Amino acid sequence: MPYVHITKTPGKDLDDYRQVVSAVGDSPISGRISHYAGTEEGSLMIVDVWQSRADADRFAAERLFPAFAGVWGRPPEDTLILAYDAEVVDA
Amino acid sequence: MGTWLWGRDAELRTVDAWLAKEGAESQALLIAGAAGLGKTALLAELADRAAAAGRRVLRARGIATGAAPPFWMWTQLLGDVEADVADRFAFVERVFEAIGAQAPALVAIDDVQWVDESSLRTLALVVSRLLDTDVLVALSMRTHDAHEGWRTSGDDLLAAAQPLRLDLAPLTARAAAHCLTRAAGQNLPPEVEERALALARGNAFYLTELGRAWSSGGTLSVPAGVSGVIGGRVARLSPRAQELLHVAAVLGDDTDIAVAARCLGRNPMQCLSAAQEALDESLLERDGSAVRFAHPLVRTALLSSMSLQRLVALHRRAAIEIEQLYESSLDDHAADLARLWSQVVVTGEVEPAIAWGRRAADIAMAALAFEDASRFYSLALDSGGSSLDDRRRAELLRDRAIADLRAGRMAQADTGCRDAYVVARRTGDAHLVASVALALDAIGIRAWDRPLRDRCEEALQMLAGADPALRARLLSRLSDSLMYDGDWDGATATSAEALRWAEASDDDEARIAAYRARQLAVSGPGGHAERVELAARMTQLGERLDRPDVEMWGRLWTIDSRWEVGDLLAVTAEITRLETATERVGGPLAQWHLLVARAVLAQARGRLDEARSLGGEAGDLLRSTGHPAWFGGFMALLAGIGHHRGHEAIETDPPAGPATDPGEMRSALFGYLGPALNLAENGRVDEALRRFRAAGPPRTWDIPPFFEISALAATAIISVETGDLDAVQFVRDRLAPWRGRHLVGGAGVGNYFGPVELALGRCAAAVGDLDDAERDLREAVAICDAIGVPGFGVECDVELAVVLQRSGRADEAAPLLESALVRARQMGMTRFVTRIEATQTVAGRGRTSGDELTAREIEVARLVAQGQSNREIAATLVLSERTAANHVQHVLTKLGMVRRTQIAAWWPRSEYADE
Repeated sequence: MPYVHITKTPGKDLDDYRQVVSAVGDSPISGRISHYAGTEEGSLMIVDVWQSRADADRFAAERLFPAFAGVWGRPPEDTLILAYDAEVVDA
Repeated sequence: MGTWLWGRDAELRTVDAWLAKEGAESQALLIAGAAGLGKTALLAELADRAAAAGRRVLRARGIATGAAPPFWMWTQLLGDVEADVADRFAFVERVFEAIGAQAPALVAIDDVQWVDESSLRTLALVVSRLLDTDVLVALSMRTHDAHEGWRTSGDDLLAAAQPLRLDLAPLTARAAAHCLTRAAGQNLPPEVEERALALARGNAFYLTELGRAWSSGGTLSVPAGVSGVIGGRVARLSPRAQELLHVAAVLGDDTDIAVAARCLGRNPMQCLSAAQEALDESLLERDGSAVRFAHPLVRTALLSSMSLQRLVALHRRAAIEIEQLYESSLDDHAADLARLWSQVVVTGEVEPAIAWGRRAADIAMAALAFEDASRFYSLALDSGGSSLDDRRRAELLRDRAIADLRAGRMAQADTGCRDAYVVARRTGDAHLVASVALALDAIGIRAWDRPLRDRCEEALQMLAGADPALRARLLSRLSDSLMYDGDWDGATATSAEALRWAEASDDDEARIAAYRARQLAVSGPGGHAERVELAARMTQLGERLDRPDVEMWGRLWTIDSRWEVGDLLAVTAEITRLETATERVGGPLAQWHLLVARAVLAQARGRLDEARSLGGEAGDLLRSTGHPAWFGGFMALLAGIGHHRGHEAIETDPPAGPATDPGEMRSALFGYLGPALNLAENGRVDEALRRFRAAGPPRTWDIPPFFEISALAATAIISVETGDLDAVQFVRDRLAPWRGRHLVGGAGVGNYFGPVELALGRCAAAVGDLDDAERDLREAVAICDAIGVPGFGVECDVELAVVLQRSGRADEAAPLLESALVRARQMGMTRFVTRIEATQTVAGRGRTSGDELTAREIEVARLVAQGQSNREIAATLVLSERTAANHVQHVLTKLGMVRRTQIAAWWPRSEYADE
């Protein structure tokens, strides 16, 4: 079941985003179906669709956490997260 | 330098000297000490310095939970080490090559007391060879709290590595005060410092925790013990960080944030800040892209702070989350899941622990990590407790016994298999009973083999209906156990039946088992024709199944049978084919067989230096694997090579260990004859005789068929050299039917002692049958010429020349000796060069009237003829042993003889016989 993962990180922009993407590296990201980044009202907005929640969880712990440490020193603390299993898919 | 290395100047100087190999005491270093003294920090500093000095650093660490994939230490050191090899010995070889290729290197293993036993045992086998290359090995070890693996194999590792030991003592008061101040980042009030120093007693970790506690809280309301200090620091974190740490402690040494987040019902993104908080407080630390506890004591403190109920609930939750998160790669997490579920069995939920214990064990078996496998089978058995039904209990006991057997723990395997059998019988399931009966191989020790035999017999009775394959395998195993129990006739009949069922079964595994059993049962010289046929079938089967291991055995059997009839061209051709098969099999055992085959051929062809070099290579290879058969196999090989080249000053007693059991006939004959042969050919007649006689009179020997020719070949030499005429006659009688054959021993020939006629001729000469001796030796000369074994040609010529001298035909002997001397020198036959020269001297001088024996010498000659040794003669005549030996030598010289047997043969017809 696809898993939709939306984050809103205040105070970050697309330059910050690109730094993290660079730190995550080029190796394939397992299970990610789509990825959209943009900004809205001074926040970095990211919408990911994953094949499963397990894929999303592993990516956050194994890839994103070290990338944050490399770029920002620490993960953003006030990120708002919305995530859900997609019951209906019409793609 | 980190806080924990404060006050370690002396240790760092030792480390520097060791890295620079000053003094070269050892290329291994063991940093030992109690928890918290700074072993890990010192090892890390050492690794950094080694890297700065140009060494490649390979790191690994033991896991406190003990739950890791098979051979985890090697995986950490080398990346993925797939055990896709034929056996454990091949795995050891692969590991050695992989690490050796990194030289100059440092292997740094932290918390070695927690490394799994399978990894430790392979390290013990490989470490001494690694240290011969430019690889340094540094271990850190906590002096208490060792896991089972270290308790059972740590001593072996230390014995093999002989490390320089560096015991970390608590910090001095001055160093401790510095350590505390640095951790706190400020000077502490004197009364606080005094209290902290008294509490920590020089423990660097504790001091650091106290310093950090002071700096973060500004107080030092210290509960007794380091756990309390850690607890206090954790309590000052945010609730989310505390929760995360407690879950992480359950998960193990490494913190899997994805699993931890799931256990907490959160999104991992929400846990990243909490993890960062623990990192900031140095309770966690980064290790590359992973996160782990900064010190194992932090995890211990967290676990001890939780109630049993909470612990059980968290273990269960963690197991479920891992099963979901890693659904597609569960094998990688089987060990951890077995550990987590085993903590849940107190609730009565036992099935997951049994299932994961078995799965982890099966995975470890496939990876050849037998000690791990045994541990996980035990975990499944313990977790199942009384809820296991007999079938599952029998299966687990059986499989654990197999794991123990392959790990070399014979006693545990034996006991486990007995238990499995009792439980299996209760089920009444013949197939289960049969599978337990087949779990262990016959090994030649009665206390082991007899129960195995009884189980096979009972399983055969239980097997109603025809199951030809299973029946064939049981009969094969039964035949092996009968064979090793000395029931040759029983084995012959049983193996024939096994063969019939196997051929009817259409099951290739059953055929392989039956061929092997039959080959062993007919391994005596009378079974030659059948073994030729079995070798061909085994080879064909190996080729058809594309199984090089099966093909290899077929080819080794072919080499045996071709050797027996002296067809060296066929042997040479077959060795070329064997080379292809052994390359495909891989590993040191296959390589050993190939090297031995080549060494024996080189020996026979008179290329003695090449033979010794190949033999040495083979011996080193097998010894390095720790294979229990290496000593016997290597000695047999050296016996053949040394026969011409001269024996080396080697230790003839086998090393201590389970490889030999002097109570068993098979071991006993090997154990007596091998050293006796070496001693006899070195001229140490008395010692040889003592060993030889310890085996009892040869006519009472019940020689196993596979050892018959080897035992007769060795006895032919020993008995002649020591003058044991009864034994000489025994050999003549037993070898007489095998004229036209050759004296070869071992499966995949392990040594060669020439044509049977050579031994017969030597024995005939020893008992004074000079006509028979001449006829046999001339025949032997012709055979040696025909098949091209020049060293044995020399040997035959020398024996023949001595016979001719004794027959008064010194003129015929002289050219033989001349020619033999040239050839012996060319081939480096040191023993024979010496002997030929001595024989020529005797022949040149001849016997004159001045050589009449003195009264004392006549007496000595009479005692020699009675078969007395120098020591016995000395005792009889009240002489020193040296004087007795001198008298014997004078007798030999005066009579123009070189051996005591010649005196014995001459005496009855001599002019002194009636005196």
